[in-house]
Amino acid sequence: MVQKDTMQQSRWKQAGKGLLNNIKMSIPILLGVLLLIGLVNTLVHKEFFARIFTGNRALDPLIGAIFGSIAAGNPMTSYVIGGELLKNGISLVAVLAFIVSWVTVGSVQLLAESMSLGKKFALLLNGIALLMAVVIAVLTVLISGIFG
Amino acid sequence: MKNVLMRIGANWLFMIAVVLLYFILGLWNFQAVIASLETFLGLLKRILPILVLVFALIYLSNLFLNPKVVSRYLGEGTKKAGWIIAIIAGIFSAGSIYLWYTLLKDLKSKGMREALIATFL
Repeated sequence: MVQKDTMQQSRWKQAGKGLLNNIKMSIPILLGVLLLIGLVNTLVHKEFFARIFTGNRALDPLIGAIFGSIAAGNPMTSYVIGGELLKNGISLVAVLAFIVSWVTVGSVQLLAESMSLGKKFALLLNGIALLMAVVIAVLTVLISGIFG
Repeated sequence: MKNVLMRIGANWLFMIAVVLLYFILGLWNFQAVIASLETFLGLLKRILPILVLVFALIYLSNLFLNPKVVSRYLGEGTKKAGWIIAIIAGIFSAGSIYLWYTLLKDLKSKGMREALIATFL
């Protein structure tokens, strides 16, 4: 009985030790990412996004996806910006690519992702997500066109 | 020099680099630094509850999940169950994506497939 208790305590201690190691490793990365997001949110103004689109139907979705990936912060902000972009006459495909990329691609946290999950994994995941943002945007507009 | 950098570690170097960025920006535009720090503090306040949840999950995973269990359900040989777990957990995971890197790194070290990590994210 005593031996079982000691074993249990040792397991808890071991788990606690593992958690402390995790905290020690992840806190600087997490704080770094949050500080970077703060910086990007301050330096990149919302009006900036309206100026990056060219009006070219083929190029704008790609521009949307690229700048969506650079933007950081709450996804809800992307919906507000997306609404403003639509009002400014930016195509729906470009706005959708921008929003999908904002949510799925994280250039700001790419370094943190590389350090936690591996460089190759982070680059592949974000690269594929960037391309898929354009594909999803095109498919959404096509499908909504069929049913709308 | 290389030894010193190695001892500091890539994660701390990353944070130091970002803090340096703030210093450089501060020399040029101090107001922007204040605004950035306000955003940072706002974000930190918002993610703290989820961060506590993530660390609690890491503690529980250290306690109950060993590489054998993780490999069985989320490892290379996994079939439908692993995908379903990753999709549902990904849908219900709260907060910003970067909060989950630590837990995923921990599960990866215990044998979780990269494909399932990507699915969760």
